[in-house]
Amino acid sequence: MKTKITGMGMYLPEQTYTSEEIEERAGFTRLGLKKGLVRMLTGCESRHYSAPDEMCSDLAAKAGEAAVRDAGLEITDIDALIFGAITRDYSEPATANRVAHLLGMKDCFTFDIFNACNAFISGIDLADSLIKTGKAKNVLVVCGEALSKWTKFDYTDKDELLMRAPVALSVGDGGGAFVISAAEDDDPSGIVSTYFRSLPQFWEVGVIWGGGVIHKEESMLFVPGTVNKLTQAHADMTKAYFPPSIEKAGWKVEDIDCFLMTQIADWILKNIKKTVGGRDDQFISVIKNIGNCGACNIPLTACIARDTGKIKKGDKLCLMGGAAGASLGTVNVVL
Amino acid sequence: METKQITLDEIRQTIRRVMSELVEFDVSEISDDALFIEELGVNSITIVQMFLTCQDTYDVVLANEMNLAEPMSVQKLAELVYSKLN
Repeated sequence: MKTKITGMGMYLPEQTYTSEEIEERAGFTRLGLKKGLVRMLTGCESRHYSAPDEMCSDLAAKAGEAAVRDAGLEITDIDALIFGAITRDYSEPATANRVAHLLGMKDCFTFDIFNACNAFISGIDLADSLIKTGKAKNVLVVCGEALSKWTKFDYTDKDELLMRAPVALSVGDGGGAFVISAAEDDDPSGIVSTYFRSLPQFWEVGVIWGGGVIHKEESMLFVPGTVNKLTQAHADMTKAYFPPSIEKAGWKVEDIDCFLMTQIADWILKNIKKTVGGRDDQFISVIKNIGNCGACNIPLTACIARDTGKIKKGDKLCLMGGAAGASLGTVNVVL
Repeated sequence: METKQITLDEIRQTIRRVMSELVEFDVSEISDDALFIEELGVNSITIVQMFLTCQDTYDVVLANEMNLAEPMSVQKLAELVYSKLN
């Protein structure tokens, strides 16, 4: 028994903002800071923001609908739906329920999975397991990130703005989805391996403190932008983690057609490329136009890569995610 | 009309002036080769601010060269700007 990606879909909200517009909103001029820091540090020039009444489930449902259509399936063919994102509609119930309701699903099981920026690829890993253990045949894994709604704009302290803003203000909203389906063993397409590891010694880096039982106040619910320790450690993490994740697939770096990765900053992507010994044509950066979309980075990058002809059926893809936690995850798949 | 050539030394002076506005130590006492993060303990956002100011001051694009994992000093940044101008 093996599994494969049979459909992919994405959705980007209509409204876009430049980095300078977002910096202005957060108080750069008011607090005497030179605009351009977000673009210089991350490479993000523009991002999409969801409408005030557009929820995570709305973004995920639109992407999910596109993915099911792309797979050539009907909604009734989906027997499990997993929602994996940083943001969510409510603390309870699982956002996946509203996504399923919006899609008109009736005979299915649904749940959420949270793992910071790796939530979506953790969902793929779980979908792979559900199918291989006979609990599902077609799993719709969706992501809907409305990170703009967890973005702090009411800064009154220049030092705090300077510390958080360049990373925190680069976030964007979007929806992404994959359909993972059962496949025959001789199918050339398929998920070849998954590999996840956590580095819990970093659990206090990049924490969104609100939303849990400790800090119930709304003022604690924002993307912190303080990921310095993780970005400083990313080269060592990549060196330690990457070789076993590729070995597990029986691949070499040069075999991989495309790396689809977490999009934090262009300079980090360049360093990872250098660390793994990859070529320019194997890597795709989308942060310039959509920013850092959290767990949605990887499905959005995959869809954009396919739409622009950078990946095609039969390509070997390495979905490689780094997340707060710290969590590292890889899904190696032949499209 | 002849355009005045910007020298490497002028760029170094600009970087030192910008840096003096952003850090708490006396910039006149550091060497041009002292590494910002590794030797001077400068935080990464300060380096990004210096890149941004140099980019605007000299009307060059430095975004593609901004890499916080690579060692940077007054001399290295000045050479980078100088290479973009020439």
